[in-house]
Amino acid sequence: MKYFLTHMFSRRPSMGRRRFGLDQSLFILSLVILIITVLFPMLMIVIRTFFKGTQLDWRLFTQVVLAPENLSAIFNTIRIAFMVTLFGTVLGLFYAWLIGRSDIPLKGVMKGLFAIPYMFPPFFGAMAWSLMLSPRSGYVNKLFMQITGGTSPLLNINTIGGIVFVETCYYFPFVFLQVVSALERMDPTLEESARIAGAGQWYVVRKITLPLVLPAIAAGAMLILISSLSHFGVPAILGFSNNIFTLPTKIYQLINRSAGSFQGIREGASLSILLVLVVVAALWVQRKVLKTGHYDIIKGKSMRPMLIKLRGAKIPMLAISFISLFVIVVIPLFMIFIVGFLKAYGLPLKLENLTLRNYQYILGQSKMVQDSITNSLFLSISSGIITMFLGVMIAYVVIKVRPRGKGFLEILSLLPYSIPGIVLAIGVILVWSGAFAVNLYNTIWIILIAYIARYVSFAMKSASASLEQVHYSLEEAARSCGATHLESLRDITLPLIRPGMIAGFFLIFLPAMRELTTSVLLYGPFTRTLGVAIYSINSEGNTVQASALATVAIAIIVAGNIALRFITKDRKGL
Amino acid sequence: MAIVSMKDITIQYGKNIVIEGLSLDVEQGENLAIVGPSSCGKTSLMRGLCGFIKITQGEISIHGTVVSSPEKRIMIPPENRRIGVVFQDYAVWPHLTVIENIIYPLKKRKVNKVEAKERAFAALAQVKMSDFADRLPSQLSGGQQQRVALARALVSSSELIVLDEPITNLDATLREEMAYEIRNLQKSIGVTVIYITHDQETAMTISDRMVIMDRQGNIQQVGTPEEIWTHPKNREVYTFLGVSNFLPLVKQGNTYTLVSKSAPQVINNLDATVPDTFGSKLLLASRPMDIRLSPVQNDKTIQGLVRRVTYLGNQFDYIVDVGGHEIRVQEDSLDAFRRGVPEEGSIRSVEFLSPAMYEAETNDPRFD
Repeated sequence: MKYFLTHMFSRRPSMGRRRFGLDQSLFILSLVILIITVLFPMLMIVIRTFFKGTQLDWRLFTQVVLAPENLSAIFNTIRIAFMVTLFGTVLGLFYAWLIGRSDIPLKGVMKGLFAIPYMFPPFFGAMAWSLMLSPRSGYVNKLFMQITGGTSPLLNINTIGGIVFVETCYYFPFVFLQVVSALERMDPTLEESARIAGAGQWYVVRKITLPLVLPAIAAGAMLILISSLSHFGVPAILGFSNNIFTLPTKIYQLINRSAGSFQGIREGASLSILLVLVVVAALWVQRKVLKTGHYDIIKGKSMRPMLIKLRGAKIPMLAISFISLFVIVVIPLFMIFIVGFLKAYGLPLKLENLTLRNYQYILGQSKMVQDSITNSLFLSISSGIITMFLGVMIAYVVIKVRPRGKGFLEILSLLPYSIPGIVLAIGVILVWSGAFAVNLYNTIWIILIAYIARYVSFAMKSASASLEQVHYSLEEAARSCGATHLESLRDITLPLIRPGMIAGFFLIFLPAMRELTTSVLLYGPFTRTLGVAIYSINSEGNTVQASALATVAIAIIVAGNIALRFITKDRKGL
Repeated sequence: MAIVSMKDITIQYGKNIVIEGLSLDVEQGENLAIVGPSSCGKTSLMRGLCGFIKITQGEISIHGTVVSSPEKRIMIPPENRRIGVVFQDYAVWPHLTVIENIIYPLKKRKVNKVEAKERAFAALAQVKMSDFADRLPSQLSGGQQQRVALARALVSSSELIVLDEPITNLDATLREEMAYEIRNLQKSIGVTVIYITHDQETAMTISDRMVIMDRQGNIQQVGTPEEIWTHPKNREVYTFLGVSNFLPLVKQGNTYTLVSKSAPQVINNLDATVPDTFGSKLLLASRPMDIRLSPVQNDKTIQGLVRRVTYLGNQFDYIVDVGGHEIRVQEDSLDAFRRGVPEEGSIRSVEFLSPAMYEAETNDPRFD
C-alpha cells in the first residue's frame, strides 16, 4: 500500500501549471475506495430489493417483510435487543457506580475482569453456556436431574431468555466503561457542594450524579442496543435448535437454505433493509437523547472524587461482585477450556476422561481447521494493514486537507459502524459475485473486501485521534526546511502517528481474528475463517473439537491483547 | 535592495477577505517587525509568504524571483522558497533529537554529511544549546525548544528568517533575554528577519523597522520604532502602542477649551503643534507617564480630581477626573515621594507633556 501510494503520487507539482497535488489525489483515492467498498454494496442491496431488472417492484419487499416467520424474527430481534439493553445498562451502571464512587476494595482486579468479555466474541459464551445449560446434555442440567431424580432441566439456555442472558454478559461493559470514564472526569466539587448545602447521599446520587452521567449512560446503552440488534453468533448457536430466529439469523438461514440462489439473496437483501431501518431508528433515538443532555461540567482532567463508604455493605457487595463476575467471565472460559480436553462430550468431567486427542486432530489432521487458521491470520493481518493505511489516508484528508466534500467522506467512512455485519456481507456478495465483471465469490478476496469495509470506521477513528495530536506547523516546518509534501508526510507525520497506527492495526486484527457474522455468509469450501470453523464444527455436533479450537482462538486473542498492551504502554515522548 | 517584495496582495479564505491590496518591501539585512492585534491577518501574511497558502491576488517575490502570483499562475512550493521559519508553537519534531531536528534541512538540501554535521553543531552553538544535542524535545523547556527552532531556521536559510510570535509563550524574563539574543544573532549573521508579533514592546526592542497593521489587515504605519513612538500617524496607531488617554478639546485661536460636564476649562499654552488642516474639534492624546500632577496651577494646566491612588511598587497609578473624563496617570514612585503623593479626593493641576493631537470625527460623542 505504501509502495503503491509512493509511486502513484511521486509526481512533483510542476511550476506555473495548475497542479493536481498530493492532497487532491489522496482525497479522490479515499473517495473512490470508500464508494466501491462501502457505498456500492449498500446501493446494490436497495437496487436488488426494489428493482426487478429496471422495473420498480415493491412486491418482494412487502412479501418478505409480511411473511409470518419473518415478522416473528423482527419481533424477537427487537425484544431481545430491548431486554439486553435494559439489563446490560442496569448491570453496567451498578458496577460503574461501585468502582467509580464507592470504597470497595480490589478495584484493579475487577476492572481487569471486566475487560475480558470485551476481548472474546459472544458466541464463545453461547457455546460455553450451552455446554452447561442445554436442556438435556448440559452439565449443570444433568447434575440437577441427577440430584432431583426428575427429567426436567434446571434452566434451558436455548430460549429467548438464554440469548438475552448471554448477550447481556458480553455487552454490559459498553455502559460500564462509558459511565466509569464519565464518573472519573466529573468535577467532584459538584457533588460536594450539594452535600455541603445539606443534601443527603441518596439525594445527591439521584439529583446530581445521575443527571450528569446521563449522556454517558445513553451512549453506552445505544451501543448495546445496536450491537444486539445486529448480532448473529449468540442467537445462531442458542436459537436455531429451538426455532428461535432473529433478523440476522433469519437472513443467514434464507441465504444458506437457498444455497446462494439469486432469489434467496434478494430475500435476504429485503430483510437486510429492514434490519438497517431498525438500526437507523435506534441511532435516531440516540441523537435525540444525547442532544437534550449535553453538559460541559464534565472536565477533561481526572480528579479524586469523594468516595461513598459502604461500611457494613462492603463485604456483601464485594461477594456479589466477585460471584457475578466469576459466573459471567471465568466459568464460561473454564468450561470451553476443559471440554476441549474431553474424550467425548457428555462424559463426566473427571481426570481419566481427559485427552489431548482433540488438539492433535484439529491442529495436526484436520485440513479444514489448518486452512481456517491460515485464512484468519492472512485476513486479519492483511485487512489490518490495508484498512489501517486507508484509515490514515481518510483521516488525513478529513483532518488536515479539509477539502470541500470532506463531510461526505467522513460519513462514508463512519457508515460501516452502524451497518450490521450480515447486511454488509450481502451487499458485498451482490457487488462482487459477477455483477460487475469481477467474480470473487468463494474466494478469500471477497472476505478481505468485506473486512476492509467493516473495519474502516475503527481505523479512521483511531487514526483521527492520533492525527489531531499532530499540529499543522510540524508538517509546515518540514516543508520550509526543504521537504516536499510527500517527504514531510514520510519523515514527520507518519513517524509521529506510528504508535496510533500500530494500536489501530490491533484494533482491527483482534476482532477480525474472531470474526463470524460476515465471514459466515462469504466463506467458500477452502476459505473458512477461524470463527466459521468453530461455528461449523460446533453445529455439526463435534462439541469437544469446537471447544478445543475455541481455546486455540482464545490463546491467539490473549496474545494479541498482551501485544497491544505492551505497545500502547511504550509510547515515548509523544 | 528589497529581499522580499509584496505587491498589492490579497488573501482570502472562501469569502472571508483577510488581507486586501497590501504592499510591503523588506530590505536586505534588516529586522522588520510586523505588529498588529491578534487575528489581523499577520499570520496569514506570513503563511502566504512561506507558500503554505495561496494568495488570491497580487505578487510576492523573493530576491527578485516571483514566488507567488495567481495572475502568472506561479506558486512555488514552500520547500523551494528557502525561508527559515520559527513557528509560534516551536514545531520542533518530538520524535527526533535536537541535532536531528537541526540537521534535517541540510539533509533535504543534499549537503554532505560531514559538512551538515559541522554546520548543525555551529548553529547549535550560536543558540547556546550545544550541551543538549542528543536530547529529545520532550526533555527540554519551552525556552530551550525555542532555541532549537531558531537554530533549525538559521540552518535552513542564512538569508531570510520568519519568526511568527516566537516568544509569546515564554515568561517575561526569558522573553526579554530571547528578544535580545535574536537581535544579536541577527546583527552578527546579517540575516534578514521578519518578526511577527502582537506585542509592540518586544517589537520596539528588537526591530529596525516596524509595520503596524490594524484589525482589518491594512498597514497603518511603517517606520523605525522611534518614529512610530514619537509620531504615531493616527489615533489607532497611538492606541495600539500602549495605554492612552484621549481628551476632547475645542480650538479657538491659540486657546483650547476642554469639553466638560462642569465648568469649562481652558489651556492657554499647549505644548503641541496642530496642523492648520484640522478642524476645531480635537483630541488630545497622552500617555499615563507623560502627565504630571502638581498642586501649582499655570497656563499649561487644567484642574482634575484625584479619584483613586494605587501603589504599584515602582510607580503610582492614579485615576483622575478631568471635567467628567477619567484619565489614567502614572508617576515614578521616587518622584511621587519627592513631590508628595496626592490624596484621593484632592484637586490637582494636570499638565500634559508633549501630547499628540488628532482631529476628532464629526460625530464623536465626547463633544455632545
